[in-house]
Amino acid sequence: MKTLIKVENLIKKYRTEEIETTALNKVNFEVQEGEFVAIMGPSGCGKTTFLNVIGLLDNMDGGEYNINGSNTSGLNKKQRNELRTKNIGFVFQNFNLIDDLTLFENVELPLVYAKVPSKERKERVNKILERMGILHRAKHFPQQLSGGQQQRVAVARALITNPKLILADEPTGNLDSKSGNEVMNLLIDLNEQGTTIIMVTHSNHDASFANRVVNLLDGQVVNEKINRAKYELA
Amino acid sequence: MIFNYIRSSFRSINRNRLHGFLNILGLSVCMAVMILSILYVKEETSYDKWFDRSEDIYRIGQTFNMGDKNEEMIITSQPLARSLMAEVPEVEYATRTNNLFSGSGLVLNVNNNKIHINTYSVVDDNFFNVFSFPFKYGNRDAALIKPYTLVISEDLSKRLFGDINSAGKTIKVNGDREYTIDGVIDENMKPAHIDFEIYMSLRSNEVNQNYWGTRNNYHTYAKLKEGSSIESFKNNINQLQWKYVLPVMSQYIPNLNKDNTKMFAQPLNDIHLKSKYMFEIQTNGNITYVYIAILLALVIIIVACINYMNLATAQSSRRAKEVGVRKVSGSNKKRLISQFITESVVQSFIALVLGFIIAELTLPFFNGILGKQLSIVGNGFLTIIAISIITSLFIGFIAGLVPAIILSHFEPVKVLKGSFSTSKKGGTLRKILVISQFIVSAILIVSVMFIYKQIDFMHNKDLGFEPDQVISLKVRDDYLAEGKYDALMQEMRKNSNISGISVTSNMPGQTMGQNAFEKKDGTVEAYNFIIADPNFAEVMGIKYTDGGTFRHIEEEELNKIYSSDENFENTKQEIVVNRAFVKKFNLTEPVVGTVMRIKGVRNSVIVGVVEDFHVDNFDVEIMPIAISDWGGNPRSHIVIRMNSSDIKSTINFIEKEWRKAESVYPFNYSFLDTEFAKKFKKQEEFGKLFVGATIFTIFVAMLGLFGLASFEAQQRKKEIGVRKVMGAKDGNIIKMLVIDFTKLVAIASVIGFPIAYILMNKWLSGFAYHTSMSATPFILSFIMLLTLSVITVIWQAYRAATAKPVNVLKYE
Repeated sequence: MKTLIKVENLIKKYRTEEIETTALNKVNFEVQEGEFVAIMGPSGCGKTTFLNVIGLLDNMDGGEYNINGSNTSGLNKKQRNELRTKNIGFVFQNFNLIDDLTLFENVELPLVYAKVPSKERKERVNKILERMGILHRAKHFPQQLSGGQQQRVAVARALITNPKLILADEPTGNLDSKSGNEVMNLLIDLNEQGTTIIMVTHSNHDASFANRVVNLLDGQVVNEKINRAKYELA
Repeated sequence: MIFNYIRSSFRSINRNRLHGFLNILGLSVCMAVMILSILYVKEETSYDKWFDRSEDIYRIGQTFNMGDKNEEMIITSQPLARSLMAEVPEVEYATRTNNLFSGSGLVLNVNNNKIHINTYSVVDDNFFNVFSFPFKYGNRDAALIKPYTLVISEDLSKRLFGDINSAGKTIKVNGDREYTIDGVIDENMKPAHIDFEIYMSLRSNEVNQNYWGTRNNYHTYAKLKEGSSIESFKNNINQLQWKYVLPVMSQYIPNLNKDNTKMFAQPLNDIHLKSKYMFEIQTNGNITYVYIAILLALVIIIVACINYMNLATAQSSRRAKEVGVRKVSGSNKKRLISQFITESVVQSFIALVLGFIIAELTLPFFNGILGKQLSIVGNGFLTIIAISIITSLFIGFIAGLVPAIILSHFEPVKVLKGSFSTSKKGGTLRKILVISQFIVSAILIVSVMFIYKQIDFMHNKDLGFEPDQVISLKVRDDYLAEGKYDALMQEMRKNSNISGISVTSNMPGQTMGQNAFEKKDGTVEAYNFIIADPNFAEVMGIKYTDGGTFRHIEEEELNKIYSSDENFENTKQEIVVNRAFVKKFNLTEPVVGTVMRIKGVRNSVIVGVVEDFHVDNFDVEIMPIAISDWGGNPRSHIVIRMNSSDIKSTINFIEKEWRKAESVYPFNYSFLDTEFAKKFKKQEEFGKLFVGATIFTIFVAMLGLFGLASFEAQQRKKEIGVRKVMGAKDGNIIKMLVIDFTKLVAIASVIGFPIAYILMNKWLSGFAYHTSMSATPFILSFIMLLTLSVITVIWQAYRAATAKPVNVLKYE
C-alpha cells in the first residue's frame, strides 16, 4: 500500500501577546491509502489543530508533512490551496452548508471554483446526489432538511471532486444516533470503495468502525490501536 | 447607575475605536449640517417680524392688465402715501422710501475722511413710526423731520467718526451740502428687507410730488390701526387706484378699467420669503430654500440615525457575548436597553460638540456662499443650543433604541455557545437603508453635474455683445448732464489704446426702466429701455442687422418719415431696437422707418435693428429693448472699449484723467465680463451648495456602506470560510463581496437616475437658454458612485477574504 500522509516531528504553536502554547509537539503520523483512521482524545488535546494542519488549512511551525508524495513545506498559499482542493474533502460536525444556496449549489461549489464546465458539473452533482439518495431534494435549502440529510449533503460535497482523502470532524456529533449510524455507514461504504478517511471523534462507537485509532494527549500521540474487530459491530 | 452606564459607554467606544470613530464622525457631520440649517432657517424666517406690530404693516402694489398678461408692480405713485393717510381710515401711518435710482451713490466727507456709499434710501419723516429700527444714538421719534437730516447705520458711524455717539454731528454729502445725523441704528438689529446704511429725509428736496400713475419711484408702506379690518382696507386702496391712477393710465393703456387695475396689500412679514417683483429693495430670500433647509435637516437627522443603527447593529455579534454575560449575571432587558441607549446618547453628545466645532469652522464658507453673516454665538445662541441638545438627545435615543432592542433580545444560552446569528430581515432592512442613501447620492451627483454643465453653458454662450476689454466707469449723472466730464472724454478719445467711448444709463445686468408702445392691433406691450449715446451699440460690440444708430439719418429723410405719418407729433425721437422688440411688436419689413407710438405722449421712429443681446440672467428670455438718447433715466456710466493688450497702463491713464475731472467721487470701474459673470452668481452659489450637500450625502452613504460591509463581512464569515475550504481563492471572495455591494449602487442608480432626470429637466426648463440633457452626467455619476463604493468596501472584503477559514469553522 502506498503512503498517503506522512507527518514527521510536526510542531504547531499558538502565540498571544504574552504566552506561547504548543498545540502539537513533535507528532509523527502516517496514513496509508485506503485506511480509515480515527483520532481521539480529550478536549484541548490538539485534535482540531492536527486536522487543520493535515487539511492544509493551517501552517505548521516545524517538522515535515508529505501528502500523496508532495512535500508541503515551502509551498505558497496558492500551491497549498491547489493541493488541498485536489486531494482533500472536508466533512464538519456542524455541516457548514451555505444557507443561501440550494443543496445542488452547495455540492456544486467546489467544482465551480475548480472551473469545471457547467454541463459536467450538472452531471457529476446529480450523480452524487442520487448516490446519497437526496436527488429529489436538490432544489431545497439546507434549513429544510434534517440534520442527517444535511450531513449527507456535506459528504456529497466533500466527495464531488473525487478526493483521495476525506477529513471528517466529529461527523455525527450533531446528529441523533439513527442519523449518526446512517452517516457512519456512508463513510464505511466510501472507505470500502477506496477513499481514505481520517475522522476526529469523541465517540468510541464511531471510532470502532476505523481500522486504526490514534489517541492524542497534550499535543502528542500517546498510543495507537489497530482495530481488528472492525466491521463486526456494524 | 447612570454613571456606570456612561463609564461603560466610554469604554465601549474605546474598545471599538474604528466603529466609535466612524459613528461619532458621521453623527458630528450630521450635527454640523443640522446646526447650519437651523441657523439659516432661523435667520431667514426672522426678517421684519421683529418690527413693532409688524403684522399690521403692508406694502402696497398695483396691477395692470397689459395685453394678455397681468403686470404686477411693487412700486407706486408719489402721492399715494399722502392719500392713504388722508382718505383711508384704517391707516395709522403711510410712508415712502425711494431707493430705485440711487444712481452713482453718495460721497460722504467727515473731516476729509471720505467714504463712497453705493446705495441709500430717501424716506418720509414718519418712516421710523412704521419701522421701529432700534436706535443706538438719537431720538427715533424726532428723526428726519427737518430737511437735510439723515439716519445712519452704526457701522457707517464707526467708519466715519470712530466709536463715539455721532448723533447731532454733520456730514458733507457729495462735496457740498451738510447733513445732520438724527440717529444711529444699532448694529445688533435683526434682519429686515429694508436695510440701508443711510436714510435721508425726503424733505431735503421736495419737488413736485403730485404725479399719479407715472413716475412710480416709491415703495409705499401702510401701518394699520390696531384691530382694523384688512378687507375694508383692501377695498379702500382699490378706490384710490380707481380714483387717481385709472384716469391717468387709461390714457396710455387702452381698455383699462376697474376690472383690470387694482391695488394690492402685501403683508410685511411675507416680503422677504415670498416676494419676487421687479424693483424689490434687495434680493429677497426664497421660501423654497427654507423648506429645502428644513427638509435637509430632517433627512440628515434620519440619515444620522440610520447610520448609527447600521454601524451599531453591525457590531452586534461582537457584543452578543457581552449581552449574554450581563444577562447571566442578572441584568434584565430594561437595564440593557438603558445601557445601550446611554451609549448612543453619549456618542451623540460628543458628536454635538464636534458638530458645533465643524459648523463654526465651515460657517465662513457657508456665509460666503449665501452672502449672509450667520453666527452661532450671538442672537439666539441659547435657542440654538437648546434645539441642538434636544435633537441630539432625540437622535441618541432613536438611534440607540433599535440596536438596544436587538442586542437585548439575544438569548444568553445561544450567544454564549457562539451559535448566534442575527436575522435576515435586519440585513434586508439595512440594505434598503443603504440603497436609499445611494439613491439620494445618485440624484445629487447627477444634479451637480447638470448645474455645472449649465453654468459652463452660460459662461460660454455668445452674449450678443463683446464684453472683453470693456470697462465701465460709474459717474455722477448730474455732472455728466452738465458736461463736467467732457474734457475727460476728450482726453480718452485721443488715447490710441481706447477704441470707443459711450455713455449709458444701464450696463447689461442692471435693472432697466420700462415703458410701453402700442401694437398695430391697439393693444399695449411693455419694453425695456436703455438711454445712451449713439456709440453705445458699437462700443458694446452689438451688431446691427439693419439700419444704424440714431442721428445717422439725414434731417431731410427723417422729416420725410415724420411727415408721412399723419398722427405724428413732431418730437423726432429715434430708437434702435433689438430683434426681440421686432418680434414682440410684430413689426414687418422694412422695420427701419417704422413709427412706434403710445397714445398722446410720444412717437419714436426705428432707425436701426440690432441682434439680441443678453442683459439679464439666462432664466428669462431676451426682452424687447429700445435704445435711445432721450429723456428717462439718468446716464451714470461711461463705457470704454480698449484695444490694447496693456490694459493696466490704459486704466492708469483713465484714472489720472478722472482725478483731473472729479475731486469728490472715487475712481470706480469694473470690467464688463466679470460684472456680467456676476449674473451667474446665483447659479454658482446654488451649485456650490449642491456640491456641499452632495459631498456630505456621499460621505454619509459611504459610512453607511462601510457599516453594511463590515456587518456583512462579519455575518458571512462562516460562508466565506466554507467557500475557501471548497477551493475559493481570495480573489473569488473579494469579487463576490464587491459585486454584491456594487449591486446596491446599481439598484440605487436605476431608481435615482430617472428622478434626477425629471428634476434636472425641470430645473433647466426654468432657463430660457439652457444646456441639453445628455447621457454623460449619468454615466460619470455611475462610474463615480461605483468607484467610491468599491473603495469603501474593498478593505472589508479583502480582510474577510484573507481571514483564515480555520478561525471561523470550528471543529470542536
